[in-house]
Amino acid sequence: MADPFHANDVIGNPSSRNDPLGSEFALAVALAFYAAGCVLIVVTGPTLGTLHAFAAFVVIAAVAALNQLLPVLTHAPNARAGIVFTIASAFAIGFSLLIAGFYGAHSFGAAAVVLATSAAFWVGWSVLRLFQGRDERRTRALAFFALAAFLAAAGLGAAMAGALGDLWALPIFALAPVHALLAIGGFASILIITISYRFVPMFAVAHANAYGSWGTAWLAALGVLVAAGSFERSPIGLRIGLIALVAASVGIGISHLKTLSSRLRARLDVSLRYGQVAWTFGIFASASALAGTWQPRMFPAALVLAILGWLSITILGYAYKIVGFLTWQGAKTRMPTARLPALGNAVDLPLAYAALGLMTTGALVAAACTFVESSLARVGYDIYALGGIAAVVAIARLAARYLFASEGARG
Amino acid sequence: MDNQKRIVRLDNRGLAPPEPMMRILTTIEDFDRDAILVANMDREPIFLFAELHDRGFAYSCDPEIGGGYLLKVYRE
Repeated sequence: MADPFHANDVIGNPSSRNDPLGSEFALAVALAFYAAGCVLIVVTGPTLGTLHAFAAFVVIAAVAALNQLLPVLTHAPNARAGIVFTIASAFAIGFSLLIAGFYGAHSFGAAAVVLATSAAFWVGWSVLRLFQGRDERRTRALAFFALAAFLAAAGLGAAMAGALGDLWALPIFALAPVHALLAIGGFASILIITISYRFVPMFAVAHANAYGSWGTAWLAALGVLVAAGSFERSPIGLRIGLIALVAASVGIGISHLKTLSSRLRARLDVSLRYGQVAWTFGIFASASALAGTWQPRMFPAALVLAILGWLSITILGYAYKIVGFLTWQGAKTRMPTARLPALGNAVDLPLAYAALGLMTTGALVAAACTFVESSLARVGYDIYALGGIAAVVAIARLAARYLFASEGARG
Repeated sequence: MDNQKRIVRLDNRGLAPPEPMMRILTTIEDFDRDAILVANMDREPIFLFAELHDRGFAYSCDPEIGGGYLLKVYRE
């Protein structure tokens, strides 16, 4: 006898769901910038152009992540794919102009205008959606903070790009470390922490109450604010801010371990393995930044640990889950009765873990050699880039399994 | 026969993620083919779908007129 529910054996009502096309596009663009960063770091070394290729990766991945998660978590309204497509494209153009400027093109002025406009629009649009959400007050509050930090960082960045492009003559370049601190600590790190409060328990199949207090996230936010506000004015204030950041990152790391130890899932999946490595890099990065208040050579090493380790490995790890889910969802909607590969078995694990090993080794070697000012840092960047490209290939292969799934595989 | 199916109801409204997913996965652990889970949800549990698929369950999730979603889960 026919099952009364079988006719509805699809994943919900598509009209009620966020259109995943915009997020899929943004993630693809973000991963392309990450791959470009890996190529640039091998070909040209750790230049400002390379640094901003990784920055583009982080920002555009954040566009995708916020777009996909806001409606699910907070009941904020769903977004049309076209808006997300436009925002991701605008950031891609702006960052491309900026990167080209660092390699000699006369594009800083245009980059400043495009990036400032894109940032203002994205932040304004996202804040509006956050106001329209009715659930998850703590998630929305932290997301507000991250977006405000992004706007400040983007404003400083656009002002510097404009000055480089002779649009104006502002004595602003001394604020470059504040720009970096707000972008890495205030925006990207706080956003990842916010998302992780919901992602880690869901990925691990664990109770959320094992994941500790939201206070540690606000301690990290406060640390970033104090450190950024004290920069070049109060060395003690800078140190106090970074101490708060280290304490918060250790606290969040402990909560992370508690969650994983109480999980129902027998084995950690690839996203959580990447997450474990990335959180360790996060603690190393904040501790290195604090050590930099005594030994300034630690600051560039902290930057390497934060960007190549903490931010990139976290986002790549989450991308396995999100890219897999979005493409699986698309295939399931297209072919409701097809026997699709289980998501848990769809990742090429040997490739994904080889990539993680190379990225970890490369980032550690690069950071250590940067600290001792050894030219061997180059070897670390080469190893890292090899791992980074392998991770992008593993994610692309995962997506391809569902994007090109055959209708003939019907169950 | 459909009327012989054991219907298990869960009200997950008011719970923050991932508690609805945890309750559902715990509840269906020992489900056989004669059991159906019917759950009221505040949110569409998008990450749950892949977990159900990987565990061999079929499902439907439809928006309700008054808000929220009605999720039905049963073994394939």
